[in-house]
Amino acid sequence: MSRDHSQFTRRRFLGNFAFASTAIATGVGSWVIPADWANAAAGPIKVGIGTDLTGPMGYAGNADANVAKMVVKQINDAGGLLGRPLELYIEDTASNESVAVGNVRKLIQREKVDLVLGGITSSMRNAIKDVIVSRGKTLYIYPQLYEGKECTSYLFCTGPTPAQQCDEFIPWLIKNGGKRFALPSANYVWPRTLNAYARKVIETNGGEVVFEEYYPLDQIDFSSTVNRVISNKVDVVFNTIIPPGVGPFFKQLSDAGFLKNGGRLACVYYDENTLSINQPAEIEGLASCLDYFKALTPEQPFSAKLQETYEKQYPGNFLFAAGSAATGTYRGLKLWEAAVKEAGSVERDAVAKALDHAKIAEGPGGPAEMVPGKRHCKMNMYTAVAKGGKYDIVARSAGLVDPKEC
Amino acid sequence: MALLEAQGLVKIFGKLTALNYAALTVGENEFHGLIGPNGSGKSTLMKCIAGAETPTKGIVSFGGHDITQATPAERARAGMSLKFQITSVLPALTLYDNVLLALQAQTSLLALAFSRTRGVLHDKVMGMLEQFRLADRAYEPAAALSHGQQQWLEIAMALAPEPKLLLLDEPTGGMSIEERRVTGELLQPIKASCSLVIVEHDLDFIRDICDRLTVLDQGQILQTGSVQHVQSCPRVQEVYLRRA
Amino acid sequence: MTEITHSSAPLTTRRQGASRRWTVLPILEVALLATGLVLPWLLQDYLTVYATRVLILCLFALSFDLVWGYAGIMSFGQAAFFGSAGYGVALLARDLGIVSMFLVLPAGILIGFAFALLLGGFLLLGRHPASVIFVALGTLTGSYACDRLARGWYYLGGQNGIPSIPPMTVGSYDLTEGVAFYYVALGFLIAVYLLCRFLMRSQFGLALAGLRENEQRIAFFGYKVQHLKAIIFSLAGAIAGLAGSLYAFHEGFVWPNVLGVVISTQVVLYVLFGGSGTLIGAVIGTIVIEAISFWLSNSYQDIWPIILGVLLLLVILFRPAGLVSLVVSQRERVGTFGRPQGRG
Repeated sequence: MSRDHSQFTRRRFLGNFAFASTAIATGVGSWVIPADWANAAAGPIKVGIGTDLTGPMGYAGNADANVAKMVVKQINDAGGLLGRPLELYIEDTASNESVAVGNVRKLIQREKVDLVLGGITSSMRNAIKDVIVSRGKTLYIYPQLYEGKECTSYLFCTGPTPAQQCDEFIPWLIKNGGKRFALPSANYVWPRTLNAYARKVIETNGGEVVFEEYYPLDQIDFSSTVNRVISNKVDVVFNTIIPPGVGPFFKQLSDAGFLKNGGRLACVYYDENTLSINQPAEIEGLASCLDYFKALTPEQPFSAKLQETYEKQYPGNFLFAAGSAATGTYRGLKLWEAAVKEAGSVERDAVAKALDHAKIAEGPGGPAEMVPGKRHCKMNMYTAVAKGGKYDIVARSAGLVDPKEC
Repeated sequence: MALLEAQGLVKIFGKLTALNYAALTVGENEFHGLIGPNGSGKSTLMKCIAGAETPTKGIVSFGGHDITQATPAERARAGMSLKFQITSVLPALTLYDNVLLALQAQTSLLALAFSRTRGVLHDKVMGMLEQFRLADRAYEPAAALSHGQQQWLEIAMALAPEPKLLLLDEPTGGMSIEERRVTGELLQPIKASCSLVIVEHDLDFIRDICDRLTVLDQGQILQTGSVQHVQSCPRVQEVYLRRA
Repeated sequence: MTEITHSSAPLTTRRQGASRRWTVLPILEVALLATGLVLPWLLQDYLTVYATRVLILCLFALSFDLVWGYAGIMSFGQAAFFGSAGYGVALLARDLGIVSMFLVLPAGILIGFAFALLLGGFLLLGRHPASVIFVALGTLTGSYACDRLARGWYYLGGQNGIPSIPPMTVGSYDLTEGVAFYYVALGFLIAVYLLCRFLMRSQFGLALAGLRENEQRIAFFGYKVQHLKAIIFSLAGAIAGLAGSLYAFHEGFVWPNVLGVVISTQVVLYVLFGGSGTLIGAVIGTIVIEAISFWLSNSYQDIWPIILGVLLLLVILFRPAGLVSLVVSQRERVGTFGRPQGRG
């Protein structure tokens, strides 16, 4: 049974009403094998995407599915992979773990895909990874920023880790916000583990955690939290509350005067997609640290081209943004493509061996490299601040940052 | 020693005193009628004896044991059985199953699960149904019976476990004259093994089958004794005439 | 739940010759059993896995049919026992590494049984019989409270629940989802079904019929009503616990929803839709609703919950006694309990 959609995602979802049916159509459409395709007899390579097309995470899931379609089309237009066309299968994990398991099973058992990419929240990843990796014996790429410590074999992570998001970001926050931190969080594994890491970095850099609290995912009234922030004279709110609670929380915080009094909001998953959840004034000065922002396009030609292609193919409300795993999806698929080329097959062990050290020279925000033996990815990191509803880049990493995982 | 002895029973519902030091004595193999005008407390007295109500004051003893606080199930096991005013056969079940339900109540739950007593009780069930002239319809649902027949079925159910004391609350309610006669016929034979306390409005019926009567008025005992004695008592006549 | 038709005229003798009408239930049971046995040969792998999940839900539905269809206890909280057993075995697997079927399933059954005894004791065993509303709300609240507790307790995984439950082992063999698990689940369903059937057709079943129809009255016959209720509620809890354990290992994870109001209500729906008080009705209701949901969600991805809701509404409006009442007469449904001899 489906969960309630928030007002925000329902509006967006209805704008893409026939999404699910067109997805397969695109997949099938790209599998019209021209007669002169080499290896046409071997059949298509099947890529499975399991992501949240509906539910509170729908804003991110739809962006990821769009990116997948874009990349698959690109690869097919260039002649496919190993001379074989790619066929894309997309299943809705619906922001609901129980539904997700059933639908991901379809990818594994019915479609028998060669790769699964997807999952946004950590709870979703945890629910479906077993189905894919151990029971399904299939390769799994997880594209989203997360809390780290995922060292399962055949599970590759292409999104930022706490080390990448905190090591340089938190010192910047202390310098540009203050020493007193509050950690309001959603009650599940990502905020808990991220906070444990963040706390260490905060304290190492002379900061102080004033309070750390956990709320149920469906909570939308944060008056007591807001009161504690104000009365404890917190400088930086390092937020890990996720939708649907985050919008009301930021609004309540700003209404209480937090930003006016010089407070700094920080949220490491906040990207262009989530900017529209609140009014610009309510998140003025919000700082985020991600692997890509659209504001980079003036200085990075490849990123600009990628952004432009996406926006042309998918105009609308699901934006190509890093906090929504869209960049991780791109990165994951391109790294996998490189690995398959190196391995010369889609057999899991061969691809995993190649993927272990795969590199791409160009990607959103710059190149990317898998760290051998760690199944995590080095990438550039950028700190950006929300001004008038748009991001301004305020800091850049000096080269690819090590994920420091496993 | 009397089979049933109720003494000094007081029952107060809020502001209403339903029973005001009422008493009742019933011997073995005795048919005892309980009469009185409407609202005199007959039903309340019956309920205190049966265990559906607990008296505010007073003692009820049965077979020499104090049962004032005993649960209905305990009273059933001690040998008391009853039939309330409102028909409560199980309409969807067959006649056979209704009687079996009453009969098997004392069987342990484990024995019930393995249906140990099903064969043993079969003869008793059919015997009971025959006694009450319902055997030919044994496997029809109870809902198919007429109102009068349902009353007989219920009496059969109440008698099935061979109680020592049967309490009947207005058993002939809604019956035709012919049915009342038959009811009297059906009840007579049980005197050999069972006592009866019966609440009734039909005075002829009571006169015919009872040995002793107790008259209640406003929660108090007006008169008690043999049928003739009570009938000829002027106070009793006055109460009945007044409230007619 | 029985429809009563009062008529003072005696029934006609067509009853005598109508013994044919009494044997629909066994036909249904055998037909479903036969289908269940051959299904994996007819379905692809992926659908067999789906079917296994449905079998486990059928088991869960049986637990509700016992308490409502037979004992008249409207429990809106069966998921509390289903989910606690699921969480219990998940914790056993995660923290103690215990995954042997011969240990975890008894553990799950015990958890369901004990919890049901506790909750049932609290809600059902009072001096005066609890009203249907009270029991419904009380069990609903119990289920809801378990859900919120699990959601907030990090040891149980909070919102995430407990993921990555390793497969159940039978000796040295890993029981992963597929044909093997299907037959294991089917085996349990058949065993429990037969047990319930035996019990419900025994004299104990007659006592339950009395409990269901008129609880106060049977106390006056001498029945220990509290014991009856405690037994049936705990038995149902044990069955729900078995289902919950199988579910946890089949799906590979548990989360607060397996304890909550939605699944509790779902199982009520399955049984009412199929027809309560027949056992096979619970199974049929589960299969039909799950099959329709599956087919609808594939064909009408966006509006299938609405279509399902409308369908359920229509059945409840026009056939309140459930689907089974289309072929099974009221008399057969109620059944007889006397010594089995030839009769009409």
